[in-house]
Amino acid sequence: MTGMPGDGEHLNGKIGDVRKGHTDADKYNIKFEEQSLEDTDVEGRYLRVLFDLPEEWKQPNYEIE
Amino acid sequence: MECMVHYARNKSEALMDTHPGPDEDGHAGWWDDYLRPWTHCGGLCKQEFMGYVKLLMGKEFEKFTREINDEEAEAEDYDDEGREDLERSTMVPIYEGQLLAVSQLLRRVRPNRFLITEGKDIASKLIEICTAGDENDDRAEEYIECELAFFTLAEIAEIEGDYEAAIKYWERVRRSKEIHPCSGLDETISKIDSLRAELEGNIAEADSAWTAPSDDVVEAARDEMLGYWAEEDRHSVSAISSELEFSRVLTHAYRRIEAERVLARVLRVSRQYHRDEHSLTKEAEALLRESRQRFVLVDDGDGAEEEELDTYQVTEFDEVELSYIAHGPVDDFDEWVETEDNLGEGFRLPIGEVILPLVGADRFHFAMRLAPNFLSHLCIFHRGRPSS
Repeated sequence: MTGMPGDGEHLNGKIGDVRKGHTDADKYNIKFEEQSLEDTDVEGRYLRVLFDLPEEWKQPNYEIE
Repeated sequence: MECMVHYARNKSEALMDTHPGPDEDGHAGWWDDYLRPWTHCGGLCKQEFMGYVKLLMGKEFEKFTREINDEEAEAEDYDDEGREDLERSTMVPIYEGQLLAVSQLLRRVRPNRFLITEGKDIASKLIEICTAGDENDDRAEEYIECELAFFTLAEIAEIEGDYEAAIKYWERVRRSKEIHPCSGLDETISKIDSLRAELEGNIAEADSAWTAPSDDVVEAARDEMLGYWAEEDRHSVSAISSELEFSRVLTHAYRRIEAERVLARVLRVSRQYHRDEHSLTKEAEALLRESRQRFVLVDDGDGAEEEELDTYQVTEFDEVELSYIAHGPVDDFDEWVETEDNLGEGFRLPIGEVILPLVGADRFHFAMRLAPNFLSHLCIFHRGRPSS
């Protein structure tokens, strides 16, 4: 496996917060910024620390300007 | 605000030009005329300034008075003692006026970081000027002049949940009331007793696990912020303070990405409307700088024991080597500063050695990007932008 395979492929490149960790299985529960994406358990090797936030994702219920 | 300050300065300067001081020519009500432009509206309503306007005008009056004092000390060739006397006689009532404004605001609006910072700063200045820096010297007559400062510090400590500090300051209020008997002594003693009981209760509960704010708490903070936006200008001091508070709640709820976005916006607004030197701008800057630090854990043993995990700050990721550039280890977050020494060249940390930070460790940062198919030639990774 060289990246998020199969069903998880559409998650590649998405950003989110780590909510829970499962160290024994090296899995992390991710809450995505895009609200349409469900929380997902992901292995650590598919994750990268995010240094620069990309362009803002507009939340449907949060009008900023 | 600039217009009000300009008007007040002109009125006070004009008065000094025609009547140099209260004792110069018997001008009745000189002090009232001198102070009024700084405390009351110069327009048709003539009402006394309230809330934040009262506080901010008080701070402008402090600046103005300091300029006048400098001119007087220069003209009269005052020595150090003369300058101190002048400073004390003019600044004590100004600081007291500012503290009254802070104290009223702390009761009237939801306490925010701006008020807390201002309250601490003004109280410290009053204590410094009254006690020559020794706030423990309760033999000094000047000690009682600090009562309002101790009172404000006690209230702020309670707001911050620091009951030990609150008790310390309420004890000083009590001591002041004993030296100079006045009303409120019994209430102060009751307050200290109840805080002591509260503190003992808190210590007993200290081992209970801390839980992150629920979604309801986050939404309540968001609603409060949106309420300020609806009632006041988006860039008002209250609105910005509530937005900073919202970012803190988000951070504690592990919603770090949203928190960072809020901080980036509030910094932009605060810079635009209040300039770089404003305390809110500085606070937003500090919070954003902190929120942009990234930390990871590294297993220094077999990972079985928590104490074998070391923390490092990571500053970039090398896509070719599949490794982070790491700095540290970080022994103490509170003392970790991004200096040239701490952030030198760093060293490479292969992804296989990194344990990503877990929920429950404060000041860890959880913003992650799901990796692309980095070994697949079919997927192109665009740094800084999510794939569609």
